[in-house]
Parts: sequence; structure tokens; C-alpha cells
Amino acid sequence: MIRLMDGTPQPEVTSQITSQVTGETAVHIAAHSLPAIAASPAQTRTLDQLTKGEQAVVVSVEASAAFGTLDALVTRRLWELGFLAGAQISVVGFGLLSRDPIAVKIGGTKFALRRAEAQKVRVKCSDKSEAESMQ
Amino acid sequence: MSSAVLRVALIGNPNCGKSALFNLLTGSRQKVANYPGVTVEKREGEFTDAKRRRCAVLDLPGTYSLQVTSADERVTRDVVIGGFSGELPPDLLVAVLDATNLRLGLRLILELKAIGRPMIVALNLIDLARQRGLEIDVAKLQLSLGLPVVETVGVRKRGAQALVAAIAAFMPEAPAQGTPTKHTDSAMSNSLRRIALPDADADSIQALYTQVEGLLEASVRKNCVLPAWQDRLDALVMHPVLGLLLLATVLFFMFQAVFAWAGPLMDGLTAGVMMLSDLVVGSMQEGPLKSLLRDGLFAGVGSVVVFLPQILILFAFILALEDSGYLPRAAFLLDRLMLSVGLSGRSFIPLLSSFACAVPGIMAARTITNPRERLVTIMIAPLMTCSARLPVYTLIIGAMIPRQSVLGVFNMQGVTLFALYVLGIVSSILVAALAQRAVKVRTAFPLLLELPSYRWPHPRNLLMGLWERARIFLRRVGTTILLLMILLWFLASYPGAPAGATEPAVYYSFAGLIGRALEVLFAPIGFSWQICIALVPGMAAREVAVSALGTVYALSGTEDQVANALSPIIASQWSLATSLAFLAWFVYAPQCLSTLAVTQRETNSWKMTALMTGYLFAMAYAAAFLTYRITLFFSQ
Repeated sequence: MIRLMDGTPQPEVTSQITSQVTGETAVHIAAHSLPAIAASPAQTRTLDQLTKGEQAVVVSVEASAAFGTLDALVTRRLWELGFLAGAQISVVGFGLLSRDPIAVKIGGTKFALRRAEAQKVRVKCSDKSEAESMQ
Repeated sequence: MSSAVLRVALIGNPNCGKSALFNLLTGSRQKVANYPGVTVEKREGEFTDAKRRRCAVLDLPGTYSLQVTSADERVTRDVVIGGFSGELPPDLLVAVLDATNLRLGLRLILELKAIGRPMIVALNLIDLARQRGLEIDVAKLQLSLGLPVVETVGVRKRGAQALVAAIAAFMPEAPAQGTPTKHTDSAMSNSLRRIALPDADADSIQALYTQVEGLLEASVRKNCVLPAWQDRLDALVMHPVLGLLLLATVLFFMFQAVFAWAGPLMDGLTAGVMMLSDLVVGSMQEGPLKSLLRDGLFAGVGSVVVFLPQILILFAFILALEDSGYLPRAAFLLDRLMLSVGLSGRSFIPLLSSFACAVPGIMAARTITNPRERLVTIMIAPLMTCSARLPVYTLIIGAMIPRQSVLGVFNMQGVTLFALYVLGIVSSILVAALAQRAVKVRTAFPLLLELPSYRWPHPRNLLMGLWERARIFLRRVGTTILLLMILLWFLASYPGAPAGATEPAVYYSFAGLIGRALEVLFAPIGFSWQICIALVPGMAAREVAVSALGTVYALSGTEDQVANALSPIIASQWSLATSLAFLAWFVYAPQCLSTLAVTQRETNSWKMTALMTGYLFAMAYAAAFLTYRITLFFSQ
């Protein structure tokens, strides 16, 4: 995970990968973390840190070493499935062992993600669920 | 299909109801093959419009995006952008849009639109979406998309009428004239016309989604609301503990039903076969023809036909589970468990289909993105108890296991059957774990599995699937099995017994010679020479072994009545140890040429195919040996 010390996402992570799956020569991906939503470090978490039923807003999808050369591909697929800045997301459930995988609902569709994928998704809690957790 | 005036391709997200729409469009005029060079299934069909013009329809594998992550998706992209070797790009794209999940589908459509090929949008599942409260202005959507949009209901009889009319508008008036040259032209310029896809970064994807929001805002007055019961059902189905219990219950119920519900139907069929046999053979003179009909046709082929109800009940369950949207949830529940042996939830669906038949199961493994996981899934798929084993299991269990009840609810025979299924599953886990120890891989692969909303399985689609299975089964009975049985009848009837023979005639025949030669190898696991004879044609397909036993015992029998009922013969002639060893053998033995052929095709490796055959036979022999010896030990 490439992040600056203060916790704000690094603006330009450009990775050049050779995709094993597609056999394509190279896929260029510029991973911009979108600056539209300013979030203080204390408020943001990764998706895997949410509890069941909790609601949040996606801030960015970050690079991760877990997927090796496939990371850019995973990032792009997450974007395509709607894991983009500003998207509302909620946690539907967890698997049995070490709460893995995680089921989430985003843009009206439910997806199952492994912990490793969920760790790539940085979210901030929406005000609504913050209000709920205060009570 | 060469005389079709128009070639259209259906494209859309997974779970958008595309296959049901394809079935509705093309009816039974379908042809399933493989794309040249790759092992992705190619479903083609055709329909004729009101003016009798023919239109070829291609069903492309479901995809979320043209930026591909699996072999399946790659085919879809290559066909669409015209880069597929030997394939002409389709004349018209029909983008199937799930009306209950507009956002994801519209994103793909905008991506497709950028390519600039002629395209129609089929707003599918529109009835379901309206039920869920969707209010959509189709005219406005059409206007802002700049593409024709028609409503379709893939599961209703006339649900594709508007689509057929819209496609017809793209058909040339004069049928088929000049099309060949046109196609050759386009084939020549094919490589030149390959369209470059734009790079996809967060900004361009965000821009597409902004456009999608614009489209939705312009045309959708009220959005779909997922019924509350769906979320409540998910709370149970995907509950880490209750969900797994429910899954176990569903699977157990399924296997009990296969055994219990099929019973009366099978008894009826058996009686029918016997009646027919008596009717045809009864008045005939003794002789070779009577023997061929009675021992080869009715005792051999007839003994397999009676298993049709069981196979159909099993397929009905699996098709219904597939249609309902339950399977991805099961994959979710089992993902972590399967990860511990190097697999993932994605391998669950191919493995479950392998319970029906390993051939579609092995083919379905291509949806697995991780090449190593895909290979392991293929290697263990034959350990799942396929429907062709049911005739073998049912015959032996019916003959040897008492019909008493266990704990008051369960049938002892059903419990035995379930145990055989469990044995196959446990063995596959062990094999996968061994494979994981042998080849360690460190990088993770994503799961990223959509959990589609629940839908009621549609009877029409279900019946079509069952009809296809019944046709395949009966065709096999009528061709492969019939031929093998005639051959076996010949080998088992000639030469006849010498004068003063003490054994039944079959003992002295060619088949008897083969059986007795093999007996040397199989005696340690308790197989008699009659069983050894049956194993040889049983290599073609497992259920053939049952037919072969039928013929062998019919020919060694002295009285007419034993010819038709195999079960009492086994009950009286086989020991419990032999019967159980025979069951254990069939849990593992790769006695199915189709499975081996499809494995070779999918892995494109003779080495892997040989490895699979070898390890399964080794396990079969070891398991049968242990079972035989242990049972002998305890029954003394």
C-alpha cells in the first residue's frame, strides 16, 4: 500500500503491468485518487474494517502488493463495478472464518469480496451511520 | 447457417437473463461448439422473421467490461472489436440490459457504443423490474442513448417479439444475395478494422458513470427497490453459521429426493421394460435373435433407461439452484473454506455442476481466473458423484442395503448414497490440499463475485434444460450403449459352451476369456470375472457397466425371469464385501471417456489427462482393496 505518512492518498500511482490473464503485452493504468472528497485521516478506513450493516462512502481504490502484477487489473475491475469515489456502500455480511469474504452492497448490487480486495477500498463513514453509532 | 442474411450477437453482464432470451429467440435450433483455438463454449442458433429471412444469433459469454480478466470475457471482447481469428465481427450487437440492475449494464453499453458498431438495446427482465417499482421512460432512454431500445421478457412466450421486429429492421430486403462477397471483403479487412480500445483509468471510468447517472436521471422516474424479503433472506442464507447449515440441508435434501422421488417412476419404467420384453420376445422361437433382443437389448439397454427419472430430478435441482441466484451465495459461504485447500468460491459452481455431469463442470471451470485453481478444479471434478454413477450406486444399494429407516426419518439406502457423495467430496478436498502442498503460489487472486438478486426459477427454462439432458441421455442410450451392448452380447455368446460344460455358457465365450484374464488383477479387490467383463465396456461411460452386468448375467442365467431383474441376482451372488468394494471403485474410477476427452481439450495437455486418469485409477484400486479387506475382516 503506497501512502504518505500523513495518511492522505498519494495522488499519482502509475503502474505498468503485464497481465497474466489476458496475455496482453502491457496495460497502462494511471491510478488517480480523486481529490473530490477531502477526508481527514481519522475518518477514513479500509472497507474490511467496517462492521456488519455499517454504511460508508468510497474515497478511493488503492494499490496493494497482495495481488502482485495483477493489482492494476483488480483496481480497474473494482472501478468498473462501481467502487468509485462518492459511491454509497454498505456491508451485508461476512463469511465464517476470520470474517472472510465480505459481502457489500454498492449501487444497488451486491458483491462478495475477499479481505485482500476490501483492503484496497478506502472509505469514509457516512454521517448517517456515524449518527447511528453515536446513539 | 451460412444462408442467414444477418448475424447478430447477444452481449451483456453475467446474470442479465441473456441465456433465457437466447433460448426464447432461437428455440431448439441451437448448436453448441467451441471457439476455434480456445476452449470457450460458443452457443449459436438462428430464427426466421415474418418475411422468412434467417438470422443467425450468437450468445457471447457474459462480461462486465471490455477490459478483460478471464478467457471467457476475452472471447466476447475479441468478437465485438473484430479481432477474433477466423471470426467475422457480427453485423449487429444486441446489448442485453438487466432492467433490475441498470447502472452496471448501462456502463457496459456506453463502452460498447464507443466502438461504433450497429447496436440494439434489449431492456430485459422488464416485467420483474416493474414489479419492483421501476418507472422508466423507454422513449427518453432511447433518445438520450441514441440507440434503439426494446423491452424484452426472456421467460415469457412472446417476450422477444419487439426484439425480433427491431432486428428485422436491420435485415437486407433481398435475402442472401451478394452476402458472401461482402463477408469475404470484411474478412480481408478484418485485421485492419480491429478497433483500439481506449485506456481505462479512474477518470474515464468515472466519466462513463457520470454519463450513466445522466441517462438514469433523464429516463427513470422511480428506481427499482429490492423487495425487503430479499435482504431478510440474505441475512439467513449468508449467515456464517445458519447459512452453512442451510446449504448442507439443501444438498442433503437434494440427494435424498433423487433417491426417494425417483423410486416409483423407476419401478414403473422397469415394469414397462419387462412387459415390452415379454411382449416382443415371448412368442419368439429360441435362437440367436431372441437372445440378442432379450439379453442384449432389453436386459442391457433397458437396465440403463430406467435411470432417466433420477438423472432428471438431479438436473432439475441443479438448474433451479442456478436460476434462483443461490449458487453465488453458496460460493460466498464456502470461499474461505475452499481457500484453505487452494481453491476459491469460484470453483464451487463448476464443482456443483459436476454432480450432474463432470463434462459441463470441467467446461465451467473456465470462469475461474486463476489458472492454477482452474487446473486443480478440473482435476478433482471427476470426484464429484456424477449422475452416471447413480445407476451403479442405485443398483448395488438397492440389492445389498436394507430399506430400514435410520433415526425414524432417513432411509438407510439414502444415507448410504449420501455417504458415497461425501466420500467423493472428502477425497477431492484431500487431493486439492495435496496439490496445494506440491505447488505453492503466493500472489492472491480476487474473488469479486456478484451476488445477483433472487429470482424464481422459470418453469419454461427449466423444462428446456431438462429436455436437453433427456435428449442427450437417450441419444447416448440409443447409440453408444446400444452398439456396445450388441458387441458385448456377441462376445459373451460366442463361442458357445463345449460339450459337458459345468459353467454357464458365458464362461467359455470371448468375453469370459477377457473377464477371467482381468480377474487375476481384480481378485484382490473382490471382483469376479463377471464384474471384470462389465468394467471393460464401462470405460465408455459408467452406466454402461450396469447394462453390461445385465447382459452378462442374462446370458449366464438359465431361466427367463432372471434375465430382466438384475438386482436379485446381485443380492444372491455378490458378497457384501464385493458389493461395497464395487461402490468404492466407482467413487474414484475415471470410467468415462467423455470426461477424459474434455479434460484433454480444456487443459490442452496429454500429460495432465494421463495424470488424472492415473491418479483416479490408483485411488479406485486402493479404496476398493481397503473396503474389500475391511468388510471381509468384520463379516467373519
